[in-house]
Amino acid sequence: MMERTVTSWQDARELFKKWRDENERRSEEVLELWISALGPNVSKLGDEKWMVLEQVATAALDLHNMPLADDTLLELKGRFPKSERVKLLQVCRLQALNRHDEALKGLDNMIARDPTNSAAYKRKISILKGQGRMVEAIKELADYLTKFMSDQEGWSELCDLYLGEGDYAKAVFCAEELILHTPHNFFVHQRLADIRYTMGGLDNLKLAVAYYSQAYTLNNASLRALCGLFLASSNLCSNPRLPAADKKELTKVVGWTAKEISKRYSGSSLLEEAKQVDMLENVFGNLQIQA
Amino acid sequence: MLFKIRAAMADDLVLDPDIRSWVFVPIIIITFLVGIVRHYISILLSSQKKVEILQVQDSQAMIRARALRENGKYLPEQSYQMRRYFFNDDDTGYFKTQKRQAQQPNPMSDPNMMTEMLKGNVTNVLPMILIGGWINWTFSGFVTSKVPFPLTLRFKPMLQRGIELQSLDASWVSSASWYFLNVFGLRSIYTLVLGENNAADQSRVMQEQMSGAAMAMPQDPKAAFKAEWEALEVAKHKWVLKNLEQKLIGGGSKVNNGDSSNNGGGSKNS
Repeated sequence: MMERTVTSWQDARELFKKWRDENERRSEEVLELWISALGPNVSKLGDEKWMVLEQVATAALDLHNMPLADDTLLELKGRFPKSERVKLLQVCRLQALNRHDEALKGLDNMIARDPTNSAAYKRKISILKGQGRMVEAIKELADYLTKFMSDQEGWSELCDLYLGEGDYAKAVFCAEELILHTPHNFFVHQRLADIRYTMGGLDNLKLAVAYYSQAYTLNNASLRALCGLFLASSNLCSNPRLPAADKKELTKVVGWTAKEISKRYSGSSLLEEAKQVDMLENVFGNLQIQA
Repeated sequence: MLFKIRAAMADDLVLDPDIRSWVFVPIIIITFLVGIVRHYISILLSSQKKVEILQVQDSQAMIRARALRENGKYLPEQSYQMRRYFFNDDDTGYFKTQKRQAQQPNPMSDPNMMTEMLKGNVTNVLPMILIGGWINWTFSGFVTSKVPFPLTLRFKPMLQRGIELQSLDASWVSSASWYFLNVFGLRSIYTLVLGENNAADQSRVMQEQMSGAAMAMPQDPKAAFKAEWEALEVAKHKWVLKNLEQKLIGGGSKVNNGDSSNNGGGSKNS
């Protein structure tokens, strides 16, 4: 991924800081830079050293580079023997070594010591998820969210977990929670629309149309929202329980979205101009879920 | 005429080289070293603040209730009411059932808080007063340097603290002002030496104190809950996505003219 092979340690330090501030993981690049540039110059970092070491330890655990992880962890532990952050890293190490029960026990201790340590809760949930104990993970996460109600990552993860279990109604709740917290992100609207569309039924399809439109309004570049709008509205049109007046309006939406989609592809020579709309409708007709 | 004389006087002012080596440079060194010492003392004295889980839970619940109030319009009626009842229901609502005693934390009765305040004073306010006073006393009355550009008279109280000379040009800097310039200007040097997030920078500390005073207000969860409950009670739900698809195609024909610019605007939103 990285084109530059030779980087000075100052540049590496800047990059590390940037990734740290922006919460980017980039484990492979971190390790590469650590070995090539930063590692030999670690003494020049001052107090920043420890944060860099934490970053490197996480990266090493990600890539299962156990010798390096052990080294950095030992150094961190020597400097901060009582730190909860280091303890969390040690738990990660146990997790990487597949010693899940010990890791869970350590986390329980950490939570008992400091019940506000949200990172410990999250690590616990991730271990449960990694072991495939989805029901327990969901239970833990729901419990966590009663305490940390405005944790968006938590809601997003719970939404995914529920989707994995096929519990759409609850996934909808989590997706709605995300919309409450970031209403200007088109992606959360699109995601809720996807779930509503998958659930099917008159009301859900109506909502899916609304949320796909909102997602498309927020981000005109989102082809997925456009396609979703097409599918949801055409599906809704074929619903016999839809009032005739609404149907007439929706048919216009179907036509408009089909035109918009075909406009997106008008640059490609694969489709001939005249046949485009028909072809698209055929393609989408095959894609449609039978509600 | 007068202006010319004044300008000529200012040009003629020659500083003793001893001022450079015994006032100008020492002030830099002293402020710098004090900053370093402050950094390490604050590390020594700092203790992890214990936060109660209930406090966290309350504040997060408040954030969530506020988000519901502000952005509830993006949710359909049913979802909105469901959440509103979670907070506001008379029998089971969160704001109704969570009884928090109205604690008025008295700083004098809580020894933890006392030591926190003391530590804050020891590392922040005390050195500021002590060193500032000492510098003012030792190096008072020196003209230390000159900024290399002309300044208006308005800058005189800022740059010439401790010297009340009408005729002195505004671009000369007095020793006391030089100290303050150092206090606020050494930030990047500290980052260079101590790394990021150091505690040496006094200006940062002062900012924190300003905002900290607002944040650390004796928060009374009961009153806050009641206020939020009331706000949520009177909030009206309005579903803003109603007929949005019709607006989309209605506005679509207009928007289509400038399709490329439209796309640009859209990606900015994402």
